[in-house]
Amino acid sequence: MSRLLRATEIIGLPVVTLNGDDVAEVRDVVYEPSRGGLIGFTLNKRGFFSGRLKQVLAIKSVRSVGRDAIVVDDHDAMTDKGDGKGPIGTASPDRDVIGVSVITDEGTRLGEVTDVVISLGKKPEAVGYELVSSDDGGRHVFVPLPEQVAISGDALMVPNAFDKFVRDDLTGFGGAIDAYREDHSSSHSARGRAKRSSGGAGQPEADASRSKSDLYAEARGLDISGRSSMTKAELVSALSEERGVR
Amino acid sequence: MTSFRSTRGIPVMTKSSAEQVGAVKHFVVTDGRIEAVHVDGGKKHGQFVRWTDIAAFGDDAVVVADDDVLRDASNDRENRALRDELVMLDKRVLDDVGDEHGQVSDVTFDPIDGKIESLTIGDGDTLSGDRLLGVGGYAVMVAGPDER
Repeated sequence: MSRLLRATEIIGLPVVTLNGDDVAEVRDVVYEPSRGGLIGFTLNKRGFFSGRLKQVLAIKSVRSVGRDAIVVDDHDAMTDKGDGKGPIGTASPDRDVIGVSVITDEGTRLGEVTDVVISLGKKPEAVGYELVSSDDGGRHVFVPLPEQVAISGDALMVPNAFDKFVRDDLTGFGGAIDAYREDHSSSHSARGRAKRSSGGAGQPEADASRSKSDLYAEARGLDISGRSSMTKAELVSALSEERGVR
Repeated sequence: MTSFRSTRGIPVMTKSSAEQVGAVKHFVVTDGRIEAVHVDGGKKHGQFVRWTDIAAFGDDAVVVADDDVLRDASNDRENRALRDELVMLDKRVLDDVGDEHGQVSDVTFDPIDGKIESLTIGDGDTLSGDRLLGVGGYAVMVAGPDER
């Protein structure tokens, strides 16, 4: 089972090299909600009142995220913001997921995001959100990161079915994540195939096995007009056509 | 068993004149081995003896050929050792996963070749010296458990 920590608990952790030197500490966790991914960390110098470091730490340069420290191979793991190694340098306020409402696709408001849950270890990733629920007098609950997230500055849209994976505490949440992934592993592999083959012209067979919301998200990405009124079959053919043109 | 705690403060003697030229303060450990011994209490404050310049590392004294093997800090590690940044005893132990495991209470080593044999953590757990990855200002880094 995955070991989990809130993103806000990662803030302040030291960044330590394999030589045992602390080279920085975490200032903030950079997270891209629309892709559901952990991107990296902005950094402070070590010690009290020591201020911001110009360098940042991309997630791919991290050896491991642990309970007590973030481990990197050496000092070179940190890169300058401006050197074009990923989008950390361009982190903008609209990436801030804290405070947005979580609404199911059937229109129920589950609550408001208060934190992002990160799985620890050598492949750290964002696995869910902590919410303060709208009912029950502000109960704190954990929900897994949905397969397909629609997100804006106002709301995070999640599939209705996933409230069965909601947990009250972080300890039980690891099991819920595993159960959720188990449940969704079939659609996952179908999507994997679709992605790999989408380099060619149209891939209608692969697209047909994807979920409608997934197809819709791609259609939106390609800005296909009329997409919101299309059926799944229409989305498949519109996507195929659009890819042929590009 | 030769350990950091049991040999802290033992005299460094010369073979040529049987004089005490200082006392063991601590050790500079690099790549799982003692690279140099930090000697204090001699004519000069804070000097080093390269491990390869030691004639014998006994339980009660370290014997060197002559006092000319004592030298000033000559590299970055030794300069940091002078500022007591690399002292292993009582430093936190961190594994490469990022989890802490208490503090180093003692370190044992082979008195012949200076290889670190084990680390004692807190008042019990012992880690093989093979798992030692590095000694820095913040932590003693060790390889994490294999199953992770």
